[in-house]
Amino acid sequence: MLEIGVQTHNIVKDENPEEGFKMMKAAGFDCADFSLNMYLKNTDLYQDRLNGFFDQSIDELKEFFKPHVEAAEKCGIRIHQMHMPYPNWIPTAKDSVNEYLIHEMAPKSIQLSEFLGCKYIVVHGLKVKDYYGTEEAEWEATENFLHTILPMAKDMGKVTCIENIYTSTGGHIKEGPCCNARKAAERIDRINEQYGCEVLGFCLDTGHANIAGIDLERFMTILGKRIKVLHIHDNDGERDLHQMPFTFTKTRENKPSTDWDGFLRALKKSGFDGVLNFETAPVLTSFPEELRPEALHMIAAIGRYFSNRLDEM
Amino acid sequence: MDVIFDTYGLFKRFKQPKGNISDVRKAGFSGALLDFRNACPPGIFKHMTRSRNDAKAEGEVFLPDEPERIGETVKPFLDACNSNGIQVKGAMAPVIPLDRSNPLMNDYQRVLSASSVRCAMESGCKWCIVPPLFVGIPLEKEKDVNIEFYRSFIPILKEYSEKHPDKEFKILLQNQCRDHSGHLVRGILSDADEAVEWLNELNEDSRNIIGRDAFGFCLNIGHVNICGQDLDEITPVLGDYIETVVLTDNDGNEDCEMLPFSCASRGIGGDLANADTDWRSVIRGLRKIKYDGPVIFSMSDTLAAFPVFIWPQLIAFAKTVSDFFVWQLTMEQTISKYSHVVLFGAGNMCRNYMMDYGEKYHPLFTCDNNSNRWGEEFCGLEIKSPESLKDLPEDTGIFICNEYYTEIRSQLESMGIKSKIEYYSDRYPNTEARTRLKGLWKNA
Repeated sequence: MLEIGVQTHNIVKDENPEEGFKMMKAAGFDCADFSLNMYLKNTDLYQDRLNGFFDQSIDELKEFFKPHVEAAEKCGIRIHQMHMPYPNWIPTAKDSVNEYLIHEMAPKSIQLSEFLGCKYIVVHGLKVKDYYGTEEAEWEATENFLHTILPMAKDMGKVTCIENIYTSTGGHIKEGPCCNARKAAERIDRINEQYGCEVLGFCLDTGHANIAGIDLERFMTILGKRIKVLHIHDNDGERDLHQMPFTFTKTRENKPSTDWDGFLRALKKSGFDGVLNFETAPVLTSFPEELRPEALHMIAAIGRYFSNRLDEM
Repeated sequence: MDVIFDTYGLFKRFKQPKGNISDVRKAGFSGALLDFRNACPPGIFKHMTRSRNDAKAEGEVFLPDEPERIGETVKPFLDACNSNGIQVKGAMAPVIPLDRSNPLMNDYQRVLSASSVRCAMESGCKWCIVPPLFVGIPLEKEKDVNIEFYRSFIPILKEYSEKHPDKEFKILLQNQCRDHSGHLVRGILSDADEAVEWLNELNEDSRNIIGRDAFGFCLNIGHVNICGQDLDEITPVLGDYIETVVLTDNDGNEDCEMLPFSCASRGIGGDLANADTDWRSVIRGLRKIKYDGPVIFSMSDTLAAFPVFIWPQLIAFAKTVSDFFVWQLTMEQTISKYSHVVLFGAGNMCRNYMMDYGEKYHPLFTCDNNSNRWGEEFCGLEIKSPESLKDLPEDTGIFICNEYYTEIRSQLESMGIKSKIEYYSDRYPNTEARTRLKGLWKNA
């Protein structure tokens, strides 16, 4: 039976972390995906706005998150993974912003993962293909970024995970960094060999794959054991909606338009033994406040269903 | 570069093709696709009984039942092409709609594909696009089933080769989407590496049996768009295997065939819509491999949406759009024709020329109408007066690097400039080097 998890965003509040972790536990979750990205939002970064959160020393940051760690422990929730703020390099931003992201945000995020007790840190690759001209050059920039954090991650026994993300043309979403499974697999293997241990893995984001036209089963079969963590969520195939699985249909037969069977088959084939983690924060805002605990229960129920299906396969 | 007009949608069962084919010719297209979907539209596989009864009532051939009669259904089309001076260079076998689930559909596809290939050979085509079998085939069996399917064409190809030793005919595989309950995602052969693996295997067999490569690839841009793929990542992998390219547009969700540039939508925060297809990636991708093979211009759904009354104008406009693509795709070939190059314009477009082609095809100089800039250096080029264009070495091409193309052309022609005048465009640059960006990471 695999453990199930959910992101802390929209559930765990700084003013009373215990309430959120308690709600997670009551819903049936075992683990949390700590949304560190919410402390330095991408929408602010794209506006060249730095909120100063990572200006704090690592000790100050630890002090800030101490109630969260204690609350999670008290409620019996294990922090399994964490999302580093993103983007970690902005082509159009001032140099000072990019310097801050590399030299302050990124290393402190790794140190915080140690404090939070989670092994996996999810990062986004750099979206700079349009500026550098090729995907290879874009990856080179991402790899340069990774090399600034991987030595520290290695020392701490952490696994940094690159995630499949997307770009757009007009209103149409298309593949972005880490959407080529073969290339991602080769790069992960090469870097792990270079570091002499498993320091890099893959975060499979089901929703991003779905809107980028990726066939989950094909994609995941190529990546296999390199998939270390999951961002499970659903959408209409057109927009990044982060809703719970089985929400969307496109035909009169009303069957799910996301291939959840293929997803489970691929997880089984790859021998995935991690956490079935949901990145479904928007569900918590789309349902009325009175229904949020039940909505969270529903997400957990889907997690249990997935876990049971995998056991039965 | 040959641009082939896809005739799907122009006719119903290839009936009354004369009038419409002459519109294609008048528009300036010299080639047409023998698209067997005209004789056997995908829709008939959704309503087999009704379609069979309709065909019977109208005295038509129902090809899924009588595939051997395919030749007689296409004869009026071929005659019309012949009388209008249109060449039929390639063909497209019928396709099964992606949402079908009855594996019996594969049997129809097998026999119809074989009949189409034979008919295409007899019609003088050089290739036929044959989509893979997919209905009810699980992921792990896709390759085995399809390699066996494509191998079944080798005896037909061998027979043809023996009869026509001077001619070569190819079966073209094509990248597909997969329908998951109404949502289209990457399907069979959408992974370029996998496609190359299949083609290598099939061609090894064909070389052993008929002494040459008999399988190639048809890259469908519409499918690439639906699958959210970057074309400039795909073309270098497929390389010379690409025998033809289907140029078509869609909204990224539905497998429609629309006139390129006609699908646009607003992204988040966009004031005006932008194209739903990443045409820059398309142009870059095809330029990367210096593609100069045939391009199939498919716009059946645009035709269906427009009143027949204005089809002649629509087809003529399609030719203008196709000319634009040829211009964009053959930019480097055009520059390389000349022993010397001179630019007209000393602004962004000139700078972008220098970035993309300046090293390989270094211009003698550039010129500008602004006399204050004469003698200045710009991007390593001296800016001269347009008068300097009167005294150019033989075989020099003047490339106008300014969007006032027609005005500058008129100016040069009125000056009596003898050198050939060409238009340069930086709408789809090969690179977008931003010096500042190269900074931190490149020097890290």
